[in-house]
Amino acid sequence: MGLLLKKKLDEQDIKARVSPTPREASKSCGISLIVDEADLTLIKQTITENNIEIMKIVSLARKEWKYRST
Amino acid sequence: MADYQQMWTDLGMDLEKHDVLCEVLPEAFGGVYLTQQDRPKGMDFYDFVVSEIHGVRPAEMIQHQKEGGKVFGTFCVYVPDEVVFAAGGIAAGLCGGSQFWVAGGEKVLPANTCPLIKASVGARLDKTCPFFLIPDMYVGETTCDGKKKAWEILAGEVPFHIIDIPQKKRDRDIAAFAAEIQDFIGVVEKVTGNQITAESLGEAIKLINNKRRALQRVYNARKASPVPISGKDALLVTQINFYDDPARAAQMANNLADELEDRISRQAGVFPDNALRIMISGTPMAIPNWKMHHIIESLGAAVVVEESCTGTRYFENLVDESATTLDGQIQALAERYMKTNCACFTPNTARIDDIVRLADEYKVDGIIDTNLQFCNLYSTESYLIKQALTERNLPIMHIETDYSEQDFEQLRTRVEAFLEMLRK
Repeated sequence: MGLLLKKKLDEQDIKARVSPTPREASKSCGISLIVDEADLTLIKQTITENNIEIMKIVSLARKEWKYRST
Repeated sequence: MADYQQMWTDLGMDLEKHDVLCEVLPEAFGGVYLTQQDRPKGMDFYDFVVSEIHGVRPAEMIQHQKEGGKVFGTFCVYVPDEVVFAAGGIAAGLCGGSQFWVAGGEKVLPANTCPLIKASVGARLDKTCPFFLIPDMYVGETTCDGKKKAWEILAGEVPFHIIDIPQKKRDRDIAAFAAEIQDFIGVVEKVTGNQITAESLGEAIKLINNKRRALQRVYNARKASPVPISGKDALLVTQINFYDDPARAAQMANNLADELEDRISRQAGVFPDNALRIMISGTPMAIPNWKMHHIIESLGAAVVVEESCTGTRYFENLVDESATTLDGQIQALAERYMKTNCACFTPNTARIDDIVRLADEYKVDGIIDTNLQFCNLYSTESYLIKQALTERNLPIMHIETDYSEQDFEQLRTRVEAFLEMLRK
């Protein structure tokens, strides 16, 4: 589902990055799409139009990335 | 998104400990990968695989087992995957690249063991990686003393076969390795219950060669200036190829190569065309070890080639596909694998030739020879490499490091000074 949404967003030139799910969003240890909040209306529309099932949309503060080993 | 909790429970994983790794991954991957600009779209597939790193491929492997298939875990580019796939099995690279697993390995291994071995043992003993719990058999090899002894510990956990790697490259050594492949065929046939025929081995040789050809295309694209893909991304592609389905891996790498070739035709690069071009030579960087690439590329230089087992050594040579008998195919496999210039061989001057050739092909400005801490073989060989490259006026620096964050700032300062010297 995540990749289908990514494909649909690519077709509309809406930026999205496939990412491991941030912990702030869920402890699911799975896939998420990181998108720009400004595109959210269009993205929600795409989700509805294509009957794409998502878990939830979570707002995350931008942060300075710092290297850390896994 | 699939829920893999049940699958992990069934595998006997330590879910609480594993959750600590799940917690770190998004930030680590985000910090290293998602901060990059204008990445090729073809990287979406690899981002997806990382996002479901302990879910999507393990689930495929378990499904394969439910259908009667067998899975073999491997640790080295000297293990001929062709044999496993010819018998209808799955071969998956298991090398541990995470600091998270090191502590588990240290419980049973001497402190002066390399982090790759510590992490590989720790991942299994701590039960925090599904890839280490799925295989029906591990296949080790004798490329260093640390590994040889670690296999004896892991053999208490899971059925184990060890391929003996010769230490020299005379004709009789190639013949000895051919005999090892013959033995390995017998072992794989017994475990899978499937006979390997000239037909099935021929198909498997083509399957793995096609993956190598696809990776060669991706790497060839890195010869262009401006370079169309970052070193980090190229490294991720190679790392994932170690355990992905080989046909899909080839398809995805070919898709990416198509895009990179298009970028080259448009002069679209991910670094400016005057960015320094760096080769990394040395020991493998198993997933998720992205440390050196991150340091170098964060400083504005591009890693354009890796002379390592997670680089050119993995795919450079193809197996001759013309043999039609098992004996001929085994000889072709032995000849191909014995061309890999690992530091376990003595002498290993062909590796120096490889580095010199790659420096020219990829038009590198400098070489950062990097080995994992306590890797005696590569560390010692670095002296001869430095000597040979200095004679040819190829700038080189040597770095020894592990998976931890502890030396990150010191390494950054050293690399920065090296890059500064190259710019003058």
